[in-house]
Amino acid sequence: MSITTENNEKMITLMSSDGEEFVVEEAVAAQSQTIKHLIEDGCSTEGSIPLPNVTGRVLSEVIQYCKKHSSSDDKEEKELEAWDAEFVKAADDHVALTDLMMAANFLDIKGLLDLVAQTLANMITGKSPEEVRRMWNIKNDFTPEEAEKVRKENQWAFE
Amino acid sequence: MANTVTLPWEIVEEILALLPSKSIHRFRQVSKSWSSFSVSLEFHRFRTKSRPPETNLPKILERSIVNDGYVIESLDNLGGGEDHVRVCFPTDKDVCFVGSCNGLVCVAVCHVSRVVELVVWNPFTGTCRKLQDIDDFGYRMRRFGNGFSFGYDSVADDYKLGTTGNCLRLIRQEHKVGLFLNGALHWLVWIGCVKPKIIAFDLAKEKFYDVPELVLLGDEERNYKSLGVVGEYLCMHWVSRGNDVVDKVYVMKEYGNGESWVPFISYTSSGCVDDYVHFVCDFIPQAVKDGGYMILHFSGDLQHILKWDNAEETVESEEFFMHIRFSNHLNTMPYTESLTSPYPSFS
Repeated sequence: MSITTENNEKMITLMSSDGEEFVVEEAVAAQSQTIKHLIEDGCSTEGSIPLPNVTGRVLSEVIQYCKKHSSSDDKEEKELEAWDAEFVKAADDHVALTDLMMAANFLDIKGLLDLVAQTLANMITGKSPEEVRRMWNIKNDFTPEEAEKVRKENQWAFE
Repeated sequence: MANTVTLPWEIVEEILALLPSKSIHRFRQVSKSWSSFSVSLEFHRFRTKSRPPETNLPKILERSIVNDGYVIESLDNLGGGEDHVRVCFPTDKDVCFVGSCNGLVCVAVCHVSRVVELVVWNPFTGTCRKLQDIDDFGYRMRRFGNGFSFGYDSVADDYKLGTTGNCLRLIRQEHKVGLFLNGALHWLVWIGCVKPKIIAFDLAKEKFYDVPELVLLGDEERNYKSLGVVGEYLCMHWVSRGNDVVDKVYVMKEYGNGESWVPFISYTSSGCVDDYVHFVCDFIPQAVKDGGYMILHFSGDLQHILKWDNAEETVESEEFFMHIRFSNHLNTMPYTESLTSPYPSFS
């Protein structure tokens, strides 16, 4: 469904995996390469664009990011950086950040992907392998011998 | 809210690429896939592209003698001059550097001027791999190289040695290390000492071929001093010794196309570099488009670092002296920090 606002901005509707609808300006949504291509392919004329991989909670955050980044120009770079820092801080923990990163990956929004990836990287830099496994539910699939071999090889990385 | 979440692999790749090398090395213990991915060449390339150029700054290895034994040190802080880190290479025999690519360094272990062992070594992780079939090389390869060099064959997915071989006896600087680019090793040679010529050795096909060199008119050709690699481009270094010593670097924008040579940077050297005749160089800049660093090795102990910024069109040059002084450039070898395994497909 295409609606036009008073400012002549074309609006489109995005639908999250849990059925929540978001009406946003096309220019805002088109920061996602995935959505941009869907619009170009004419998928937006038939009602709303379904985004089966993104929940309403995450989508609202993504839209918040896209709105900020479509309304700012280059001159406000510093302010935008500060805003980005607050934005990832608000996401609170690694679970929320991982959800956000998966959405950014699916929607193909490079700026957001880089921002969240860097935040997660900073978060784990000093962590132990066990902590990283716990964070993301990763199975330790080394045999005891293999684990010992790798451990010996990188002992100094713990210093 | 659940406190765990499953991580898709493409996201692991993105995050790993942004971590410091030491963290990635530690996280090899997380799981088999984390371990094998972080030492892969694929990851090394992906990471080099994702990171800002200044974090990919090259480092220099230096062979030196301490208390009658040989050690290899890494000069980590380029331009700082004094920041040496002893890196662990497991031998007390004499060593020389054969070549470097993908963050790996090929080291020849020598005994009485003969090579007794060739080792592919990652100076960052300390992983070593002895190369097989050393006998053949041992005879032909004397301590200082004889034009041998080291590179990666992407077809065989393995590291190989190449040599300028017997067919080119007239190579002016026989000891020069070949430069690795595009799956081939490259040398600048003077046949009959008149015109410089670029020859390349394709590591997959194991065949020599010519690369069209930059042609300038008349005697200007004599001013070519050396060949280098800038990012993904081949380049030639040119020195004019008029009233001012002017250095120019040309790059070949399209590999193999002789028409595509263009001037890249030029700068005026300070007068303290006297001995241009024995000039040898390695170019190890990181990002050709935006700017980067270039390291020029001179014979003896002088190194020259150029820093340029394409947007500002500036070139800064900085000279520094190596901590320990030697007369042969094979005592130093540039490399990039990586976690790449010396083994072709690590499991």
